[in-house]
Amino acid sequence: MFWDEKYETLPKRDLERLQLKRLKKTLVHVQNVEFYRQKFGEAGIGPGDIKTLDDIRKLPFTRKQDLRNGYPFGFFAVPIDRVIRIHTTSGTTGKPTVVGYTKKDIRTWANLISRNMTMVGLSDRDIFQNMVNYGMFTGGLGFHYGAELVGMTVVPSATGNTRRQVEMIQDFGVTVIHCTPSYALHLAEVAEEMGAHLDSLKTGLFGAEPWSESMRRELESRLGLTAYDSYGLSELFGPGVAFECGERDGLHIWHDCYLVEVVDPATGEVLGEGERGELVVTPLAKEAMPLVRYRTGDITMLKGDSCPCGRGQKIARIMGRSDDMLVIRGINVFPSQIEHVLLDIPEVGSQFMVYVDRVNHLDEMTIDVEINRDYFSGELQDLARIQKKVVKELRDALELRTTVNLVEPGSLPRFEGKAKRIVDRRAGAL
Amino acid sequence: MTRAWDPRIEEMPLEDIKKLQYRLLKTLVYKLYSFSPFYHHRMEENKVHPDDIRTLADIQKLPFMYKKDLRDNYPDKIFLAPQEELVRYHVSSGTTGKPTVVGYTARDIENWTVSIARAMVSCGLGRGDVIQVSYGYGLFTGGLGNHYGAERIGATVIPTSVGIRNARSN
Repeated sequence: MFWDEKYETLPKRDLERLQLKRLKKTLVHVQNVEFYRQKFGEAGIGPGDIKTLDDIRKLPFTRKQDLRNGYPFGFFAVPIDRVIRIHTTSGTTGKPTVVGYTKKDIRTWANLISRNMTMVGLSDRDIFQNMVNYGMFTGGLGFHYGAELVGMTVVPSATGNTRRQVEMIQDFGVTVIHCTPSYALHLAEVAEEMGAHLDSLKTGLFGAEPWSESMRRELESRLGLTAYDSYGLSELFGPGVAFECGERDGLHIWHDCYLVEVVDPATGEVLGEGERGELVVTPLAKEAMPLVRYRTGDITMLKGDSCPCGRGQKIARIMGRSDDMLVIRGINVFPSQIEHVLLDIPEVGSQFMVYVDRVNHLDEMTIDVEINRDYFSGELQDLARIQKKVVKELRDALELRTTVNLVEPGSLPRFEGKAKRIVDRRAGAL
Repeated sequence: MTRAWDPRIEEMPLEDIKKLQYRLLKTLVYKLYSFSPFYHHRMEENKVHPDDIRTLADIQKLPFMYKKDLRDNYPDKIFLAPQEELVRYHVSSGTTGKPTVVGYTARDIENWTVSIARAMVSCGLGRGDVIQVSYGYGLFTGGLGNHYGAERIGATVIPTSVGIRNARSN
């Protein structure tokens, strides 16, 4: 089944012609952004110098740090009164990255989600429980709008109260869920504890964090559904950029809306099919916040084989990150964010270690930090107060609950050169 | 500057509003009596028939409805529209275990959105305003309801939802 068969199955030549047309338009449009006027000027290149798709290699990359430097609206290419939505993603140093959408952007985004949902066999007969954060996180409203466009019955359950989530699936006869794979496993566990059978479920859409094939088997057998991988990032609207089809062998990325390159993260050199590198995307259908050669930080490769479903070239499932970003319960966390928070609390030192574990299938983050002797009276209640303060400051900055251990000054490892403050113990957990 | 989203309805003379209300009430009562087992039974019990509704004031002949009725018919036994026409469920927390479920057709969402758009425009809001919606998004109607209304009038919506303290003051 197709949502937009013509654009989902464009023959290579027609696709490339469309991409080039849209790329040229995008390069003119980005001239409304000071950053790009300057970058293009420095490179001595104008939109007119791009004559073929390969010419894109002459253009400079855009990095997440550039977007942060533009906080809040520096990357908007339209006046603010044409922006009807703002989302933010967590940044490394307190200030988040802001993304904006015109009315047309919101429509384009919803249509891409509708393509994905239709591709895996969903229709207006389905009842869809959306178990991710609504609000600033693009996963909630993104899928909500797509499911509504398809005509499904949407249960905007958001996160939390897992027993209630189980009851709603049963009571409403929910057929499709969307959440992080780790939350899905937690849901399965709670349902098993409750002795609840989730017979109505048939499809699970999982994303916002990398997950393995063994996780897929586990989810499918315990929840009795077929699991599909979903990929996206807020800078490219949000979820919906790429999605698995029924073959479940790589993700179809929507080439009419996203011009895809895979590059060597170290050198920026463009890689060929089957070569593993960082995904770089130039969105071709974004109005409010167009980007050129955006470095996603996600590691994947372009797949060579054609797909029996008839859609375009696929990318492999995401294999990791090229930077130090962590994904904790679907929320992006940079170690520098933690550092930033700790530096503002005089009661603790600047040395810290972060441990990430998977407990009952949910990510747990533990932070060890040294206490500052000058601020510590030696009283136990003082220790409790400081610990509470650090937990609160971290929660406000990261939107995440963490466990904080205060340790003796001088007891944490010191690093020469690049610090290794993150110990991710989730690998191999599933 | 206009202060109405839909001047035809919002500035309608009272007499015309009453006529419109009567027409809509009459249709509603017939529809419920004919197609809703719950309402049919309720009206029979109270010995009232749709034909008894001849003026707007005749609404007094109809029985009241209580939150308990909604709970007793959990989750969707009281819905008039078939499931495939529903595009949304919201749920309000119940005091006695089972919550109350409300369903919406696409037209319901449209009417709801328009009513919020009217309210916002009547306060002087519109395109060019930046509206931060700090109600809970999700099953609670406050978040998505205001979100859809604010989006409709062309304002810039920041869907912060609840719970992020510092991010708001930035």
